[in-house]
Amino acid sequence: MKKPSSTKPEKSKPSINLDRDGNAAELFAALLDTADTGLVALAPDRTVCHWNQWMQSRSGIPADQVLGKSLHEVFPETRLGRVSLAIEDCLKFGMPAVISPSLNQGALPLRPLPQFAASFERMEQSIRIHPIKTEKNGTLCSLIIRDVTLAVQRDRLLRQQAAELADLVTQSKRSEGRTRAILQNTIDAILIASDDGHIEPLNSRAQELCGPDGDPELRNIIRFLLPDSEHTPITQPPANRLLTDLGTGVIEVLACTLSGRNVPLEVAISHFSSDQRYHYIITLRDISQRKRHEMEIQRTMAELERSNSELEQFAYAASHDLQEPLRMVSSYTQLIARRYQGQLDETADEFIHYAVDGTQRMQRMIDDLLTLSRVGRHGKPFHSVPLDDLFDAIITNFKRAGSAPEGNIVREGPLPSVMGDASQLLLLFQNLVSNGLKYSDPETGRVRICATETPNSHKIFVEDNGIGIDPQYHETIFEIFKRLHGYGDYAGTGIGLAICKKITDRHGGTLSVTSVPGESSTFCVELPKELPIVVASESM
Amino acid sequence: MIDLTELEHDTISELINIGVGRAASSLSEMVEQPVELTVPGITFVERFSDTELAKAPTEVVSAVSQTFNGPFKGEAMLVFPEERSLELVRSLLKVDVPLDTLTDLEQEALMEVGNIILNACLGSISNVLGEPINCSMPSFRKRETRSLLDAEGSNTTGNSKPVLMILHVQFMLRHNDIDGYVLFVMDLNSIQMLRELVRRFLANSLG
Amino acid sequence: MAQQRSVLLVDDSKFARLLVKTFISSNYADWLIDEAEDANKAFEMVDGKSYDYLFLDFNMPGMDGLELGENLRPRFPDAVIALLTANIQQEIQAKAESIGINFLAKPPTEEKICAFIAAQEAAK
Repeated sequence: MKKPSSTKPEKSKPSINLDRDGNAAELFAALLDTADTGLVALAPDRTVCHWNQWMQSRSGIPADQVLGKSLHEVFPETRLGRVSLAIEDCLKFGMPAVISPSLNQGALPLRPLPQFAASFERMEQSIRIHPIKTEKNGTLCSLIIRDVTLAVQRDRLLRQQAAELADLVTQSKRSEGRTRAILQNTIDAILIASDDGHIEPLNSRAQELCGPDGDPELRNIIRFLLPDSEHTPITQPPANRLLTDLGTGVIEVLACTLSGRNVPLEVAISHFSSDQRYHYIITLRDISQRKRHEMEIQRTMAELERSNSELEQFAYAASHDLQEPLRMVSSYTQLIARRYQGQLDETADEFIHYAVDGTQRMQRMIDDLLTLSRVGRHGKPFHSVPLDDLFDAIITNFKRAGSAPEGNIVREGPLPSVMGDASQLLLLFQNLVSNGLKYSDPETGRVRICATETPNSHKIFVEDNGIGIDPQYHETIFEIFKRLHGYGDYAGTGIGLAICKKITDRHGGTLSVTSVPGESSTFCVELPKELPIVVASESM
Repeated sequence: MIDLTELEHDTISELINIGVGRAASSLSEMVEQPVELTVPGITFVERFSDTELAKAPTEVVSAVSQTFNGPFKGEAMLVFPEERSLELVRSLLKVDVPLDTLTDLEQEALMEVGNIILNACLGSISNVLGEPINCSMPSFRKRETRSLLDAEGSNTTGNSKPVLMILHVQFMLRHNDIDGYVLFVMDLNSIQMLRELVRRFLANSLG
Repeated sequence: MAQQRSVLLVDDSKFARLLVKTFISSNYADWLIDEAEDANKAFEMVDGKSYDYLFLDFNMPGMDGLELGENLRPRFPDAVIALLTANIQQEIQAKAESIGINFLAKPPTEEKICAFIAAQEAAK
């Protein structure tokens, strides 16, 4: 160590020599009074011998009222308390003491600073009690009092915040518990996949499927299905494991668990972002039940189609093969009628008439039956058919046949174009119009055609002002050979409406009737704007 | 080395019990609930590693220590495993929101508790033996058990090896019992001085 | 001079017993003084013997002095029972007083013990 240089001795000397100038007491008193702590000194007889400015302002008691008195004379409440005992121990045994704000709230009645007055009745104090040994006066005792109100206030705030935080944690734990319970008790298996290809089962059902007894292939299948899986190498799963019918938007896979169960699963994938990463939520729903139902329906459908086509084939074969002998009977009865009319007696003429009429009716029925079976068998591809043109043709047909007086087929407003088989639609509406005219007064009979539109379909109404149909027959009139009237009253084979029904069916539409008996009947053909797949791909 | 007779040992033990009893009544009054403090045993050891405390060398302990100086000198310490010290302070303060570590205010409260107990023990010995003891202000430390006695420029490390007087202390509060230790770390001269004073006192009082 | 009395000191500290015994015998030389180091020993001692003064330490292993006093009170309705303790908590003090047990703060000093006995003797 280098000793201080002797060339500048005045630097290390204080400019005021306290002892020499004799103003030490003055300086120390000023120091004590400017201190930001309370300073109290007690003499061996327990009386106050110093009380600094800070104590005066915080207690509101000036020094001259305190000096020479004991502390409990100044603050009567301290007589038996911790402060008095500590002072006693200090003066008697020379023991120092710490008096903390937590264990002794407001040990001395001192005022808090104005900013704390609202929440604190008293200043919070941290007190130190020291013995001071002097040669002249024996052991004195000093009290050093610090204002720690701010620290206490902060501590309270800290605890309050900690309590709030603890509450929040409890709450979030509770809600997490509930979420977990929901997750666990969901029937679907739920998994989460992160963008690095890691897949984690979230509930027990997922654990079953992906766990040790589950399907070892399943994770790979899921990775294969995830949209962006370029980060991880993926092997194409076996074809028989993907049941997905592409284009339908539904993903179905087959899980083969090690426990030997094959479970068809519907897969739904959604996603969310967290921690700046992409995550997928994969939901696997066991669709065994649905698959069983689907298979049952398919089987029934196939069965139905088969029996249906058999029936049509039979109808066609029957009516076609019947035509040949009938034509022979018909030709010969007509020949007999032409050649022997009026040459036999009246009764013979009558019999011949009935025979001819019978064969003609039978001819019409067979024709209709053939038409009916052809609706299914010889359908043409669908295209757009403007109904206005179609009705023009129908009206022309009726005029040519002379079966409809001028103006008794009325069209209201333009008719739409619909998707369908033009020749079948012609047959459909011609039958409906003819039906309407048939059951109306030939003089005043009138058929009105109009159309409305729904978001998904066109409705075409054919309304007559004829005899009407009793509501009880509204369902049965579309069945084959159903006639509501005797043959003598109204001509017809009882097949016409059945043909209409079959045509609307083939077009994916419906045919229905409403009626006010004695006034009118309204047939409604409703045709879809978009053709259902089943109808479009029908092979019948 | 520490050849105390049974009566000498018993005397020191009783003086400490008196001190601890006084401390308990002071604390009880301050916290307005019953506080009992007992000293089930006092042992003297030469090496800290022989103490019960040293069996968990990495456990963090809170200690309040005061040095004392007089006819015998050394350091007195109230030591708790940190968790116990939290329990103690919070039982005494009836705090309902515990935080993970002692806050400054709690630390000061623990210092006061230590101060009361250590003062009472030293005061009781000093009072009965008629010899004044000078004490320092308490200081707080928190560290691993194994470095508990490492010096901080304190006067416990003389030239001679320290001797430890270990008091096992038990706080019995309303809801729980909390175990801690009071350590008196002295050098051999001091402990011999203490024994000498006890002998002198016994001789005087018992005739 | 006062008549001869019998005294029982119960304290786990031999030192404490010695101290109190010395204080008493140096002032009342002819008094009979017995000692016990815990409650069990005390029960043995009082079996078939009667005491005028019982000084009980509060803090003892096993039964504490207050409980012991409670047990001995009905047996010696006229005896003076004093609880010696440094632990002068309100609750203990109140309980001791309620069952007619006096209270003496530790540490025992000659003046304290003698003043206490003198007062009791004067009252008899």
